[in-house]
Amino acid sequence: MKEFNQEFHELSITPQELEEILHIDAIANIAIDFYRGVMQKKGKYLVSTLLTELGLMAIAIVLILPTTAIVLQASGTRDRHLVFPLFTISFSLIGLILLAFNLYCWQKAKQLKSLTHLLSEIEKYNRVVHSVTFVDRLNSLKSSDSQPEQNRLETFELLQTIRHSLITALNVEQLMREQTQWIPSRYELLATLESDLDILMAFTARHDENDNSQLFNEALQIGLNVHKEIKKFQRDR
Amino acid sequence: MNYFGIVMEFLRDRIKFLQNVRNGKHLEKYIISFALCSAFFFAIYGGIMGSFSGGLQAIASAIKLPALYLLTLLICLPALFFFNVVSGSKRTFLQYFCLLLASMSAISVMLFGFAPIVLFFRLSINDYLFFTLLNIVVLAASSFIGVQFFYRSMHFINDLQGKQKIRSISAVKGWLVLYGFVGSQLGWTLRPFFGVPGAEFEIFRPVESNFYAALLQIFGKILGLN
Repeated sequence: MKEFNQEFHELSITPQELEEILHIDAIANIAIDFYRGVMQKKGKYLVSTLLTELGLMAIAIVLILPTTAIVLQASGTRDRHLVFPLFTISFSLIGLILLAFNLYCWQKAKQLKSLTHLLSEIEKYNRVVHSVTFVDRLNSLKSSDSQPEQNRLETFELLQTIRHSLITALNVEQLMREQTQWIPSRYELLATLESDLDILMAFTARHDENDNSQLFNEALQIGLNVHKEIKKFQRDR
Repeated sequence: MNYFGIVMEFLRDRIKFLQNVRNGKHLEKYIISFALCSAFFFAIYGGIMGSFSGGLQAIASAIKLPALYLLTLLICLPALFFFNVVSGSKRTFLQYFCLLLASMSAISVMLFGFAPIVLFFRLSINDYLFFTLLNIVVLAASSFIGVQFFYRSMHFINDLQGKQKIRSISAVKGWLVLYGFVGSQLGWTLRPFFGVPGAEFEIFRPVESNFYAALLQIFGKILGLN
């Protein structure tokens, strides 16, 4: 029982795994947070974006304010007459830097829209895996009323298929973003996604109501969303 | 992104960090995190330093202390890079930038660690000279640790062999002297950091000679030469 629980847990997609698949730089990460915070209005990412903006503003103040003051002083402006030009020039420059940064993030976020949606699905998927692991652990404690082995096996297979779909979708998205022309591996990956979709449809057809119904449906929905997202991304290109 | 988490990860596992720098991995992530965190930590310490002379001086010092460290880094970075390129190094500009910022982070974290102690003395002893001296000792100790880390890191990421390696290490030593020189002069230009209790707030003191001339003047006064 314990072993099975561990296997459920291992189905989650870890940040390290994502890092290995995606190869995105820190600026792209900031842009993704920007999109999820500003466009998708997710509190956690909005806070992260605001902190980044505040940090950038602090660095701009720290570098620009003293530099401007030194330059003004060297050009002969003295203490009392220093304040107005110092603040006008410095804060104009800081404003320009922040504006440029936000425009850059906006542009980058638009390019990474599909990836951002896939990452949201991965977050949902990880939540489902966590819940399934929890329910499985609970069921293992009550020996008399435990979940039938067939149900658990079915849930495990479904999550495994969705995991596979998500990782394939990430690879497809990355290939399509980086390469403009069609390459053979892209066809292969899309074919894999199609076969995953067939498996998911089969799951939908044969699935019976059980203890895990809600989680099962949620997982199915994630799997289907991934396919929709890739289709949309293909159309947009 | 969890910027503080990345800095903590660097402090806990420096070998992994140095390996990543050597392989050119995650450089942007490190650079952004180090810049943000070190600016924040320096600002906190700077605020405490300036608090002896009132609120305005505290705000000014909270801007000036990070400016001192980060501007010195930016001024001296091209020299470090070209010194090493001339010595035969294949490392990139970003790798050197990342290492230097990591050293700044180490200094800023040390200062942040000392901040409660300095704040305690600031609140419990009303002695301007003692407070100034305490800060100089703390700044010197933290900077020494940061510079030592940088020197060792440069050894670690060095990709040269034989005479080229010796030349490159000599270049780093020479660069450190230059760094100290620029840093002290910039500190002199940006003063006051502590302010003078009771005196009117001033953004900068008039630029008069340089740090070393002032140092010689002080020694001269002590020895009764002028």
